[in-house]
Amino acid sequence: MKAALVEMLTVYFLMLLLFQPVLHDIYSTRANAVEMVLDSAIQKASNADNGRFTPEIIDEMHSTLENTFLLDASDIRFNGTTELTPRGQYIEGTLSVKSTPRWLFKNLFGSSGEEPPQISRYAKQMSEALVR
Amino acid sequence: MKRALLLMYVILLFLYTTSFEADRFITSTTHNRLKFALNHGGHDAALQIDKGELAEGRIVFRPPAARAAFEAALQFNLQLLGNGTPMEGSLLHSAPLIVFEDYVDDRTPGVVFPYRYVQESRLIDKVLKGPAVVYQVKVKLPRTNALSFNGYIYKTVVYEYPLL
Repeated sequence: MKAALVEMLTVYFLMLLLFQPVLHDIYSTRANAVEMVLDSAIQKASNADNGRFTPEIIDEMHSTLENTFLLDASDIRFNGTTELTPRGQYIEGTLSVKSTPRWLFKNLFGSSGEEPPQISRYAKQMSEALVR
Repeated sequence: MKRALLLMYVILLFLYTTSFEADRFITSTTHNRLKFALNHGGHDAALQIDKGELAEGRIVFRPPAARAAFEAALQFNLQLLGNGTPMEGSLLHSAPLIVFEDYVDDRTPGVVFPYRYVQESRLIDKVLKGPAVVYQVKVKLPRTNALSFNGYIYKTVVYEYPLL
């Protein structure tokens, strides 16, 4: 009995030691990707030529996330300013993607097991576009 | 007994690697988000220019408005409350502090663009092609455990007035 218990615990922790860091790495890569993609998109969007999130900028965000970071198209959601905004007014954007599991055994340390289902990032910056 | 010791060692190793991993994530995320927020803030601040001077062909910043725009951008992009402290559950644990601000424009005496802007004590050295705003912000790095780095990170933004 004692031996069985020790054996079970060992397997439990060995699995954690082997696979947990990978889960964290995947999550942090995805979270950083969302942040960087949104940042470069809002810089383009605030440019004098655009002044809003144009369909091309939104498409580019989607294609970067899908092709470089291998996300599923249905997991990506974007909400942002799509009307032309004059210079000095704010444009904003929220990019959310599906979150990856962060813990191999969620309830091991007594956590409630509730994780946010989305990785969501927000950015807001003034437009540079001159509206005549 | 041997097995129990091994198990304890494995658990300690796991806790150490997990907290190390968490620190790595927090550190890179804080650096990234602070830099992005500063870029947005610098951009917004650089747009706050004097319209009358612009009509004369000079680009001159309005420091109070620029500072307000910069602070607003930090508030929006770093999830801060109105008084500058971070929201509950957001990344930062303490308020970011603006430690340095400067404006180089067409009214600054002795400045001809391109201009080499140097602040040696703040480790800023940048060639400016046009009028620019300069801000430096420090923020306490969020800690995840007792072994985490306990200190401030500094970020600087030098943002030129975006010409058309």
